Amino acid sequence: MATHPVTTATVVTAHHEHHHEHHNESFWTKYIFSQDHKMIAKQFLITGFAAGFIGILLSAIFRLQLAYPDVSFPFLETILGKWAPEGRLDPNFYMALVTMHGTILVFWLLTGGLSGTFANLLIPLQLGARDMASPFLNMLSFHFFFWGTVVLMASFFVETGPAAAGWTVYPPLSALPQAMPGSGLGMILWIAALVLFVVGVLMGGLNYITTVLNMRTQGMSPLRMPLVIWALFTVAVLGLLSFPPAVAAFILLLFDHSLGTSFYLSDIYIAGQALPQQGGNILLYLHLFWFLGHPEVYIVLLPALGITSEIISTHARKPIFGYKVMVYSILGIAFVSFIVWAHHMFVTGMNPLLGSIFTATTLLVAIPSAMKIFNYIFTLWKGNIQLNTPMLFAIGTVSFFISGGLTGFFLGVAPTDIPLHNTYFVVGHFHLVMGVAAVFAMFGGTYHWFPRLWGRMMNERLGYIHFWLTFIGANLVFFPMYYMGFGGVPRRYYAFTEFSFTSKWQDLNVFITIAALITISAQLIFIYNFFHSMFYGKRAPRNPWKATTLEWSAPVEHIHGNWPGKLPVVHRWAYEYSKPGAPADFIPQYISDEDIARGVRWWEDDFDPAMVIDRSEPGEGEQKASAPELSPTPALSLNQKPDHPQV
Amino acid sequence: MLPRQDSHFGMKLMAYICSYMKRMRWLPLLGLIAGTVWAQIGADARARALELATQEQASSVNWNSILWTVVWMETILVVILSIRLTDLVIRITGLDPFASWDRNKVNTRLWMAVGIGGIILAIWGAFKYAPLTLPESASIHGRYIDALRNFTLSFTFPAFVIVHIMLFYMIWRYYNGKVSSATYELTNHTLERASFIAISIPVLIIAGWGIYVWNLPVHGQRPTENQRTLEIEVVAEQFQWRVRYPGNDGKLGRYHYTLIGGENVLGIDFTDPKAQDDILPALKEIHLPVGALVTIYVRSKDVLHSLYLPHFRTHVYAVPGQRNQVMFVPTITTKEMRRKLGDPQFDYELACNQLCGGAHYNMRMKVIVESWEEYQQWLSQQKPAYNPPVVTEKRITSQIL
Repeated sequence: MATHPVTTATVVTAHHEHHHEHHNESFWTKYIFSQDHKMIAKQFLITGFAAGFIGILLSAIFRLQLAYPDVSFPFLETILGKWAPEGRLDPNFYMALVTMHGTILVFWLLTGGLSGTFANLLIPLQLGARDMASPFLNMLSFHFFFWGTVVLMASFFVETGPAAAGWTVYPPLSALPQAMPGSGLGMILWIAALVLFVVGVLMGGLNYITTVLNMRTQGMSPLRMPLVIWALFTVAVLGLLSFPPAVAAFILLLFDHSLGTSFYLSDIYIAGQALPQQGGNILLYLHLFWFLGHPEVYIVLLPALGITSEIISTHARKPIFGYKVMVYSILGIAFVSFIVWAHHMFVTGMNPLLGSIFTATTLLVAIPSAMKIFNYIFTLWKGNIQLNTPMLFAIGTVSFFISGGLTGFFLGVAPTDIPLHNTYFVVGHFHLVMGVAAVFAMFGGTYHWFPRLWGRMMNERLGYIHFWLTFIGANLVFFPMYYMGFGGVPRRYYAFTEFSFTSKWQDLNVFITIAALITISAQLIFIYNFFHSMFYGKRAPRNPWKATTLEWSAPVEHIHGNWPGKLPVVHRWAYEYSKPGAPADFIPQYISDEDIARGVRWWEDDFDPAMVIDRSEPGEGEQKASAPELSPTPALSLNQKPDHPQV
Repeated sequence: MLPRQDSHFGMKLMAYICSYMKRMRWLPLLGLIAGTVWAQIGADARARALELATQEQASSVNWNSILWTVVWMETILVVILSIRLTDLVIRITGLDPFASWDRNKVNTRLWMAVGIGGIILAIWGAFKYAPLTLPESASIHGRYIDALRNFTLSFTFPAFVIVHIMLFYMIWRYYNGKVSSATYELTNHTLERASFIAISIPVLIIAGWGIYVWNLPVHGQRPTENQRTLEIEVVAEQFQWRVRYPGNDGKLGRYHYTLIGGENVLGIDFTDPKAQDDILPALKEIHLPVGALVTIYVRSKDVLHSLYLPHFRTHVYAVPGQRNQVMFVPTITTKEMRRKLGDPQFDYELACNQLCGGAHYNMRMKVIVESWEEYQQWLSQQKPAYNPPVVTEKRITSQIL
């Protein structure tokens, strides 16, 4: 039997060093070039939310245009200048707004912001690791993300405007500057931003995978991991497999755009001139792009569902229903997501045989997704539901996932997709199923883990107001789009006035815009609550939600290495809620049966988990069950960081 | 909660507000600065947009924007202050109007109200907006698509309602307050199996049905006996459609994109005898004979477009460098559809449904379905695009130049 490597003496020394180190940190090493995963999580969270807020403000502008195509808004000229002459939005800039809205929200808020925040925060803390496998790579991951954000935002200020060919940037529109102004420098900056972003995502993903595989604490066998870790791990693998083809697609697009190659271009006569490019095909781009594009949906969605699992189980005081089914569903969704991409291309003129195949594979996704929904509902069944703000948002995610997911049956089947492809039905579908569902999970996660990040609670009442306004508002915005979709109203239209089958929806568009503006304004409540609570919020107890997972056993202070003493040893799975015979309705993962017998009172607010963690000795069984404990030494010594307890 | 002491509550409140105002005194100042900057940006922007302002005009201050910004900042200040004030009143007086509210009960009731109300609203909306949705399909394969769509709807809409009601029921039945403890239940194989079957059956039916219908419109159609056929070409460009009809031979001639130029807007190769009788109608209209098997060849001159005929449930991308093909049989003439809908203004429309640039929203073409006789009459009034002397002359000119 191996002895636990950390002795009491080294613990004391390590703790002392921390203390020392903590005071020596300058502003730059603590807030900017931090290698601490908790700080990087905060950086991702705030950058992601900031980008996301800009993204939804863009949608406010184009919603105004859609509702009132004939009205002049002088303030638009004040803020947008030449893009809104005399208060009327320029059609090309409308497209730029739509493009940037999509890019920012899909990639920056819901990929970078969501995965970046919660993977960085939760993977080391919930697995009982001192930090990520490579904190330095982790820091770089954020910095690439951040500079990607800067480049993307910079594209608003170039003379020809930002990229405007839709967030999917289909060539030749995106490849030919003469096709629209946004395809000039704005497009190059878009590609540069995306490449920086993907580099950041890949660095993060490698780190997440390595950490989950190698740095789990003793006793944390895979089937004891919280579901959110399963989701984040799977998503890291998905990202690693699907982003590189997209980068290849973007680089080839850049070649077509700037170097005169013809990967995607052929037989083009534009602006009075026949281009020399021949032999390329756009379908190549579509295949490459959607090979990322569809897994991307699950890169957004799976962490959201993982967070929802944590929140629902914790706040319903009940173990997650069908844990193994949930794990298999995550893996199943991840696998199937790689063989469904061409359902975005049913009407592009690809081989019709593929339409049949991708119809069949696409509908397969419904099975694991529905299993997850049913399991959430069965988790609530016979639970003891605490309707705290995170729980409201988690239930909201489930609701949106139902409302949005079911309509996938129309779009995933080739024939019914024919009249609905690229209509508002699609807009409603993806906004509900991956847009607001994931945003709600992100809000829920923020409310839930805010005390873990800043040691303070967010204001509950403002949280309720925020939730109800956003939930009702988002439904009123996106549900009517289904009706418009059945009316065949195409998306990315600057105005619906030109066609008789679209112009009759004008009243509904006004309604949607008003609902959208109210929903967007409601986010100010969140921003106020977020920043106010960060400094003036009520101090949170160590484990405010009475959760079982390990992140609540570490002190909230900014400590490198997370736990001041030993790492916690895991004795049970992540969802030990309301176990019959237990003295409280939750048993944290680090509490062993001996601790219970000893009379440890972990449910009290002033309980210090270190009392249990530091005295624990690994038992025989635990030693075997766990992955070999890589105490952080090997990985961290590569990094030459003296502030981790050397053991 | 602050202790209630002997000093006057009002005095305390005023003192607190004053101290808070003092702390927030930068806000109006910031408003002024932001307003000035914003006004400056706005003035510059306007000058550039109108391209007629001199440098002096551009730098003139826009007081209106300053006022606007200050008002906005003051509004934020008032909102923040009123939140703080409410908070303070509650803390000092101890009279929290919401203190007696059980948050679980209130939120549960809100879930019930919003949930049930939302479902009713969704059903009401479906009935209200049904008349605005696309009318019955005007093509044969479209009817199959609509049948599948209606079947899918008859599964998804009840599923939407039932699963939501399950969700709301769980909240209503098991919120803390109504119950005080949870049941430790890890899984239930019967329920898991039931869920699996409940979702698998519709998946299998819809996928199988979908694959069957998919093979009808795109490559499964053959003309029936005595059915007339028509092959036309629709070409997209920024931002209009052009249509080419075959002449008497019923065949479309060759084309190449390098031949585009001058009057030859479609790049038709007039050395091909089949091309010489091809017709480019003068008006921006597509005429289709009812009951004929129509094949549309779709191509694009510049960027990606999409041929979207919603009333015929027909949709295919226009891809530069690739000629796509789509088949359908129009079954209802424009006149008949107008009579059915009671709308004398009704027209079938062709729209672009793939982002193609600024005026993407404006690529409209009228589609007219009429009887074979009317179609023939219309066609006979159109002239072939081939105009030998002019074209030859142009070519020679361009070669000399």
